[in-house]
Amino acid sequence: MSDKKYSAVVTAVGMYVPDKVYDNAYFESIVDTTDEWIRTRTGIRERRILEKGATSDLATKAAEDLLKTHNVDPKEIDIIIVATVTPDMFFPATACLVQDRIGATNSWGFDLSAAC
Amino acid sequence: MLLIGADKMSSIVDYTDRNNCILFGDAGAAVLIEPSEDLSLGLQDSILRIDGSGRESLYMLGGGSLNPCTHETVDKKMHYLYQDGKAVFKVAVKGMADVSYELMQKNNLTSDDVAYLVPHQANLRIIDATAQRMGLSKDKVMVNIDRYGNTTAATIPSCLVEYYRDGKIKKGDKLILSAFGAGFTWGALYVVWAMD
Repeated sequence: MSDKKYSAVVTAVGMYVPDKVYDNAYFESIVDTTDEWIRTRTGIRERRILEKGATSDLATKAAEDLLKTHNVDPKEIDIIIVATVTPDMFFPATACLVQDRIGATNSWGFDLSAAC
Repeated sequence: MLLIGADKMSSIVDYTDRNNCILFGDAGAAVLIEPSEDLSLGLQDSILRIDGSGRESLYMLGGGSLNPCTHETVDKKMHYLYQDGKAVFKVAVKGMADVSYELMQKNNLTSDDVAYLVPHQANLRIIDATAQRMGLSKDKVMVNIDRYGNTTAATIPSCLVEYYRDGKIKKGDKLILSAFGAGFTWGALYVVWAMD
């Protein structure tokens, strides 16, 4: 590490979760399970579900939250990497779809899959 | 560099599979990564591992070049995520705890030095076991699995966003990010938080 000239630092953050909630009671109604079993085995009480749209919508909204909150110009982005195991499709990469929607016109990008 | 973790897990979850459908949720989270001349901030070190012999435990078989989409692959539910939960749990518990602890040792970090463990949110029991191995109390472990489930690529960045926005992390805090997933692939990063 002694020849290191630069360090990679996080300078802005953003996120998005959809509004629709599936709580444990919902799963009690569709499969053979209980709220208590789920909570004690996994720690999960509820999750968010995107009813309409795809991973690029989740990724774009998270990016937009970051850009807006931290006043970042999308034209200054050099590279977009989208980590996902649920890309919108095999190709083009979800990074391309995000690049287009946020107007990151000077960027390169690709997807990264190293799974759940 | 805009690094985004996003997954619509509900698109590959079989909602008749009682063991797996309860686990996953949909989310996206993003971080902007820039170079810094202050080398004491940002990414300091990492341990990254891969072991493809774990491919039988966690996968989605259909849709790729091995099993292109046909009526048969649909009928056989090959376009859903499959997980042998018990097998994955056993390996993940050890894998995540081992790399996190090794990374602390390698960088001479004590449990007092570490401000937070930022773990992949797959299962609270795996998270607890990792924290225990690192000697961290529960208040030093980032958790949002209770509200979002396992959001795959969004788990670690969404924890960072929420804890940062809640004012719980500050510049100079030493963080250990740790994850485990299909492959198997797993690893840990030692990061010094750079945002005020």
